[in-house]
Amino acid sequence: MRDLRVEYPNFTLGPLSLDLHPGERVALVGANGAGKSTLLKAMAGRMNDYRGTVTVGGTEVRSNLPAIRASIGFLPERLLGYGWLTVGEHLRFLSNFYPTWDDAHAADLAERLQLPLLSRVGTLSKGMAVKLSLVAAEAFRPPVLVLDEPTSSIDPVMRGELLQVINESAPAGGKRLVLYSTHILEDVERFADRVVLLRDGRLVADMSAADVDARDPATPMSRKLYTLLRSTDE
Amino acid sequence: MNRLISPRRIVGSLLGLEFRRVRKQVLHTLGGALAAVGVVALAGFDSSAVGFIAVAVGLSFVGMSAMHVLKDKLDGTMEFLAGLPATPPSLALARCAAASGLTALGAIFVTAACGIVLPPLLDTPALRVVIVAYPLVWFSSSAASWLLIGLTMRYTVTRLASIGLLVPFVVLFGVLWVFDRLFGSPLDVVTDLVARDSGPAILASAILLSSALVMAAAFRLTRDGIARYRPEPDKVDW
Repeated sequence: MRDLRVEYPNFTLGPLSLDLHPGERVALVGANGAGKSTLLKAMAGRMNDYRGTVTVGGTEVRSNLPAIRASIGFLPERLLGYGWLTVGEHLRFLSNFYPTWDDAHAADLAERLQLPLLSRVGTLSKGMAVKLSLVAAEAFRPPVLVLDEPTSSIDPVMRGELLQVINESAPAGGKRLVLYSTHILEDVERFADRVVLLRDGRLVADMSAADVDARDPATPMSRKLYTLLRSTDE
Repeated sequence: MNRLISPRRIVGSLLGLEFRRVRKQVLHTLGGALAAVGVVALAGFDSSAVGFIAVAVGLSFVGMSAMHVLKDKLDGTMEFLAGLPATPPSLALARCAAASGLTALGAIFVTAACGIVLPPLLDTPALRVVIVAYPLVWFSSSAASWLLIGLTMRYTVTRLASIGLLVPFVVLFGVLWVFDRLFGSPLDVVTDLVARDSGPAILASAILLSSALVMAAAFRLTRDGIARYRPEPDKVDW
C-alpha cells in the first residue's frame, strides 16, 4: 500500500506505506483506536473511500473488489452475518460466492473447532463467533488471510485452538501472507515473523520479529513490544 | 484472481436469502389481513371496508424491502452483504427482484380492491378491471418499492430519518400540484381519459413508462448505495 489515507470525522489513518510479501506472517500491533481495523479493511477490499493505492497481487483493490475479496480471507473484528441463519446455513450461503470454496475443508475445520452447525449464528458466544469467522475466511484457501483481532475477548483455551489452526493454515516458511491485528502481545510472540506498530493512525515501527527479539534476548518478546509501544508514545 | 462465481448464481443465492427472511413477515401479514376481513364479514360485509383493508395490506408489501435495508444497516448485516465478492449491480438486482416478488403478492390485494370498488364506477365488468389493473398495480408498486430501497440504500439512516424518506412524498405531491395547475384535477383528468376509447391504453402506457423511469433511477441509487456503503459507527449489534 502506498500513501494510504482514510479520513473519519474524528480520526485519520495515514498517510502510510507498507509492502507485504507472500509467506510473511505480519502482526499489526497498536492500542484500541490506532487504526488497525481500518487498515485491514482497506487491505481486504472492505472499503473503497480511501486515498492512495492498495495493491494485491498487482491489482489495485478498488479496481476489482469482487475478485480481490474472493482471494482474501477476511476475519472481521466482529462476526458479520444473519443471526437467524444456522451456522451450517451461513457457511453454505457463503460457499455460493467463492469459486475456490472447499466444502470438505470447511466441514473439517468446523468439526475441529467444534462449531455447532445447527445453532443460530446470532446465539453464538464471542469465541464461537470468531471460530465461525475463521472457518469462513479459511474455507476457500485464500492466498492472503487478513485477521482482525482474532483472539481478543476470548478465553485462553479457545485462543490456543484458534492460533493453532491459524498456524497450521499458514505455517512459517509457507506461501501464504497472513496479516493480523492484535493488542495481545503474547500472540505476536507465538505467531508473527514481522511486526508493524501503529499509533494514532500512523505507522511508527516496522521490523522483523527477529530484530525485536535481538534487542534484549533475555526479555520476553511481549515485554519488548510493550516497551516499544510505550517508547513510540513518548 | 479474476475467476468469479457467475452473477446468476450470486443473484439466485441472494434472492433465496431475501425470500427466506420475509417468509414469516408475509405469513403474519396475510394472517392479519384474513383476520381483518373476517371481522368485517362478521360485522356485516361492507365492500368499501374490505377494499380499504386490501389496499392497506397490498401497500404494506411496498415498504417491506426498504425496511429490510434499514434493518440490515442497523444490524450490521449490510456490511456483511456489501463485503461479499459480488458486484454492486448483482446485489442491487437481487434486492430489487425480491421487492418485485413481494409486490407481486401485494398487487393481488390492491387488484382485488380495484375489482370490488371500480366496476360500478367505471361501468366495466370486474374481470376486465382485474386483468388490466394487476400488471399496472404490480409494475407501479414495484417502482415505488424500488425507489424506497434506493433511498434507504443510498442515504445514511440518520439522514433518512431527517429528510430522506420525505423525498418521494414531496416529489409525488409536487408532481400532482404541477399536474393540477397545468391540466386540472388529476382525478377528473383520469376519469375523462378512461371514458374515451383509447383512454385506458394511454393511461396504462403513462403508468408503465413513468414506473420504468422510476425503476431505472431507483436501481442506480441502490447500486451506488451498495458501492459506496460505509457502516455507520453507531449501528446496533446483535
